[in-house]
Amino acid sequence: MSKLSRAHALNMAVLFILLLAFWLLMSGHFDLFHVSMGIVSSAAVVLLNARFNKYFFLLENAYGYAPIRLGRVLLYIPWLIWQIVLASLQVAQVVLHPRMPIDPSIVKFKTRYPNDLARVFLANSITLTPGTITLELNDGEYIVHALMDVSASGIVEENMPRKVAALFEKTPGPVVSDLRVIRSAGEL
Amino acid sequence: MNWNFVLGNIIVSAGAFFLLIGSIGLVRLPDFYARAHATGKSDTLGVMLTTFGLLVHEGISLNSLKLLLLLYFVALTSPTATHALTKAAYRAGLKPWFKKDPPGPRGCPTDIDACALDDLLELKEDD
Repeated sequence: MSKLSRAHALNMAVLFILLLAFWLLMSGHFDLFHVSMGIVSSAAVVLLNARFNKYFFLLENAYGYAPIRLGRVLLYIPWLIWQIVLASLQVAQVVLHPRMPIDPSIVKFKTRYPNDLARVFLANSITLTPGTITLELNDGEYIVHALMDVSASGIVEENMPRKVAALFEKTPGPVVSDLRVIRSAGEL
Repeated sequence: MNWNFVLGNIIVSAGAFFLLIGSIGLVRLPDFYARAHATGKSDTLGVMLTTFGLLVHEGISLNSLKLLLLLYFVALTSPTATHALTKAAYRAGLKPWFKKDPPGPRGCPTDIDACALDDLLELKEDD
């Protein structure tokens, strides 16, 4: 093996600490025997995977993306959980309704995000909130299936895409363009 | 009675409620995509609430740390699995059901298995 770069050594150290913490959490025994077993096996895993750890994607700019703003993430997660609860209640109401008033639609739109991480953030947030699923994500172009009009409103009004953009930029401009709502199989 | 016992039970009950909604939705909704909403979403919230309720029940201990880890993994894997399933269906060319589509025989939406379920129920009534 060639000489270790500094980042590579740091990655291995971080992985070792994470693995050891996981071991201690799972075992719950803190005597010398069990802890030393943990140290040995964590070290073995780190050494076996040494070549995979050249890049640590959160610290290094491997994809050239803007650094995420952690303060905003801490605000975003409770907001997302609240959205999930609200949307779940909407879906529950529709499912229990005797006539089941669903009106499925497919929403296609393009986004102007600076990087892949933001795109994945939005895609997973859409899928996490009940009533909407990301079907396809291609170079910032989304295809979303929505169960009801209310479910899609968060995307059509650009509420959620803007919140995701704010995780990366201080003053995000308009994000969504070319929005199309499809309501029959013929338009697909 | 302890406060965390009461609170934990309330949260676990809420989780069970959402799991029930997910199952009812799986039976009632018309097509694959709509059913993915019921199973992939209501169930996610149900499992997360159930786990969170157990966490509150348990208080601060090593076990509750494990439950917290479980919560994290469910939140991470469940939407990914739903996305993978629906994406595969979409790429395979399965068209979603729309309200405007002409209904099939006996008012059932076209080419979906909701009607198969109706047939099943009718068979049972005949017995």
